[in-house]
Amino acid sequence: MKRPILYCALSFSVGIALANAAIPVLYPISLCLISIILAVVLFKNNILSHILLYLALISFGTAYSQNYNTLPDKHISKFAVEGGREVFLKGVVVDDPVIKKAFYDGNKISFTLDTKGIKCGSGEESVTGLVKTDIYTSGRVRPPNAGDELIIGGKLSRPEGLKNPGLFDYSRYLKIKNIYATLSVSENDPVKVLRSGRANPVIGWAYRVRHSISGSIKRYVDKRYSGFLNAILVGERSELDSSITDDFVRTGTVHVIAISGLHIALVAGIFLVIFKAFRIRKKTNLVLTSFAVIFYCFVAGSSPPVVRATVVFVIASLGYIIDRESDLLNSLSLAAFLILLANPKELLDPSFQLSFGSVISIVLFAPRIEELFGKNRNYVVKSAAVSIAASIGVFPIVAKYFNIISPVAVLANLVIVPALFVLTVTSFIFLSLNLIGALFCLGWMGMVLSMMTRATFYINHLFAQIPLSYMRIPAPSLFFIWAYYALLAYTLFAKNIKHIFMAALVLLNIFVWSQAISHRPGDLKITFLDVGKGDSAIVQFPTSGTMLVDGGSGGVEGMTDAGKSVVAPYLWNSGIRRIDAVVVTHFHEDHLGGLFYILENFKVGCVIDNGEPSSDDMPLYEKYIGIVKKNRIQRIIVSDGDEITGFGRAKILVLNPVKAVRDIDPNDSSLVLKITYNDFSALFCADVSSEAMGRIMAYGDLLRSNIIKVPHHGGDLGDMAVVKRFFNLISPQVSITSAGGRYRFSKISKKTQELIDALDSTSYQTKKQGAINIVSDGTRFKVTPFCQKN
Amino acid sequence: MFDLEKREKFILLILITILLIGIAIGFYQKRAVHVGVKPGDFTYLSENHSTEDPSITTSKININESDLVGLTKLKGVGSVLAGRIIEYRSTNGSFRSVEELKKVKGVGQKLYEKIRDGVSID
Repeated sequence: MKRPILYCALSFSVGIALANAAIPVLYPISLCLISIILAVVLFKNNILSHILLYLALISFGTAYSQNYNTLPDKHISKFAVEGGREVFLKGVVVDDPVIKKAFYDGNKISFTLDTKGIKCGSGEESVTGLVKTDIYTSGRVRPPNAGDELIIGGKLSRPEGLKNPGLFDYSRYLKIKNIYATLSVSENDPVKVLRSGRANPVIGWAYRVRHSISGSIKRYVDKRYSGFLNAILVGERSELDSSITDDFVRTGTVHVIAISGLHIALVAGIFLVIFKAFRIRKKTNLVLTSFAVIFYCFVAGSSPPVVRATVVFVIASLGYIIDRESDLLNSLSLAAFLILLANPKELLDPSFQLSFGSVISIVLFAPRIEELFGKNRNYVVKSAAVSIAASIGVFPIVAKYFNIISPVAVLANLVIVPALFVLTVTSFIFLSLNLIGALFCLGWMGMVLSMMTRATFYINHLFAQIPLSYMRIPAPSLFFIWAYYALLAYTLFAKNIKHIFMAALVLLNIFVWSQAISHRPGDLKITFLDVGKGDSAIVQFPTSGTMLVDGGSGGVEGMTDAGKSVVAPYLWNSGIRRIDAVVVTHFHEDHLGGLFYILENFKVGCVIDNGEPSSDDMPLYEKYIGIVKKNRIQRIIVSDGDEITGFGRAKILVLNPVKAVRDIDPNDSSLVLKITYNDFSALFCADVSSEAMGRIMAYGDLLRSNIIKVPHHGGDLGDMAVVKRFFNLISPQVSITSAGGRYRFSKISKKTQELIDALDSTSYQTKKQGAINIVSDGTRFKVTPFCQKN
Repeated sequence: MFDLEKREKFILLILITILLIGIAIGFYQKRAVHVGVKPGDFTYLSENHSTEDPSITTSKININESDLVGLTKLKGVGSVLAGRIIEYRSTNGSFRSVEELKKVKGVGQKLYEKIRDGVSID
């Protein structure tokens, strides 16, 4: 079968990908025109004119994408600054506001605002562009409806870019959705509805259905399970427990939680069956179902994956209705082409890559895999083939963004996907009963739904527990990803299985060796991560061994856990699965909190602490001791003068706390470590103040270091004369301050900053420069901040 | 199984060998480290005696006259302990010998031996 659209969509995608390289827009436009003219002139030469037309499409893609990415003059992003400023905005709510529990009992109402006007300072101007708005309230502010026109005050800021390598980039995620600014609205900021309910009536109705579904699920289904049901039914993920999501990620079934192709196919299937029961002809049935699916798309919150799946379904059924040869690959290509035309930036969206990657891979490879099973093709073989094909298709993308590979996915999907089907159908029955007000059996049905969801969780958890069910792997290089897809394309044409096998071996070699040579023996590597307010640093020792000094804040319900959201992903991304020593400098939440997740999810050789919890730290301390005991981790208590051994030529010396001194401030009893590797040395000062410094100074010249981690996040350090003498004794070339935080902002003290500036050193702040990486070969060292521009 | 030619066998063998070497290197780099502790006996302090801040250790601190800040300059004595020393002084009168320091709550034999050379009574 000829598939011209496939090649068109591919060339267009290549063009969009090329748009990232800064080429003046004039070149692609002229190239496009020249190719078209040449193709028309050389029309008789069939192959050449084809190639020229595809070339035209590529350059069209580049030009189109560049034009799309250029923001208009009056765009809201021109007013957004880093750090934020107070403004008033006028605009229309374009999506359904999501209400989420924020910490301290409050609510966070989030929606997208299409701005019309801005008032900052004295001037009033008209603007365009989308703004992600978050209202933090304790219940006083009523959430607006989609279509409302608002005047709203708050802090307009540019979303913070990526601060640590290998992590989820929130600002990029927003940019793909064409959002370049965020507005943070607090309890006391004004929110005024100018006009309400100007939305499209169908969409308004869809949102009402959405609210009524999630409302009745919440009312009749146990709280622990309603979050999951709402996620799979209407795409409302605000009350989904993150530990549940983790399990689904591990077993490679996370596609079940995010509404996408599978759910759309299910819903379409349900409607097709219903309409068929009314003896409606197949073509009419498809038309009706298409409308039902489009309506469901809005009910499900019309997030990009839902829209994509809807477009694919509508195009495929359209193809059938107008009697075209039904070819899924053609429909998919057309859908991709249209979606990219609507927003070329989606090409770079991981979820776009996952959606199309898996579906195309299923279409191409599932039949071939089925062949391998021989003649016997029952349900299990077919589903397994689909699952294997999907896994093959998205493996590098999953590895890149989630740092995981789940062989168990093939098995888990065999069970979880039918479970999703049963859950969806049961929920549909439940919701229809709710609609006709069959009150007597709703409570009972709710219980059935709870039990079924619970069973799904349980089975999924069992799959995650199987040894080797999933493995954390480092992000593959771009070269590996391309080589992988080249091999996949090759297997489509290769007849000789021997050659495929050899090519796969070469690929494995690339993967293994790129890991083996990534860490140069003889290099000491220290990475200070940006964990907001808090400390976290990873030391990779020259020959072997890793040490983690603190893990940022976390461990508190409802708050960001730096261990889970920053430290763990960073470690997985850089291929670290084992930590030989986890150092707890002291038992404060901004140092210990993030470590709980690490201790639970990594192989940890030992923990090192000072063994001196103050009475205030007891709850955290007891939790820490509990986890250490449960996981049977060796615990080492150290104090001044001790040397931590085992890391080859690198020496680690403990300088604080002083053994003989008790009853002092927990900050002053925090562990101060000096790491020396030949001529290079770094001093980790934890949170000590001038009192402890006075004692540490007894070490005299031993304190001299190349690098200092400034104590107490650069905050107030007590007696400045002592601090000054302390800093002068160390006389560092580089100082690193670990400060920041979006919510609980920690201020760098002015006096401390003056002292840091007075030193003859280069100073870095994780707040400004993000993660800071230091590599030393024992004589020289090199500092590389992750965010270069500041 | 694959019915390989001689040349193919050779290439396959090389590929697998290289792969195994790569895996071995990876494992070697990530091998577990035995972390231990060499307990400190404050050797660093005595070794670096000459390089220290002279105000801290070379001149002896008079425990009968020194104030709180002065006392905390003693290695191992913090503000709490210094406060107790002053309290002892005010309730029991001046120290008659350096050894009397041991009577202060919180000063054990070990700490006493450490600070003995750094203090004087007159």
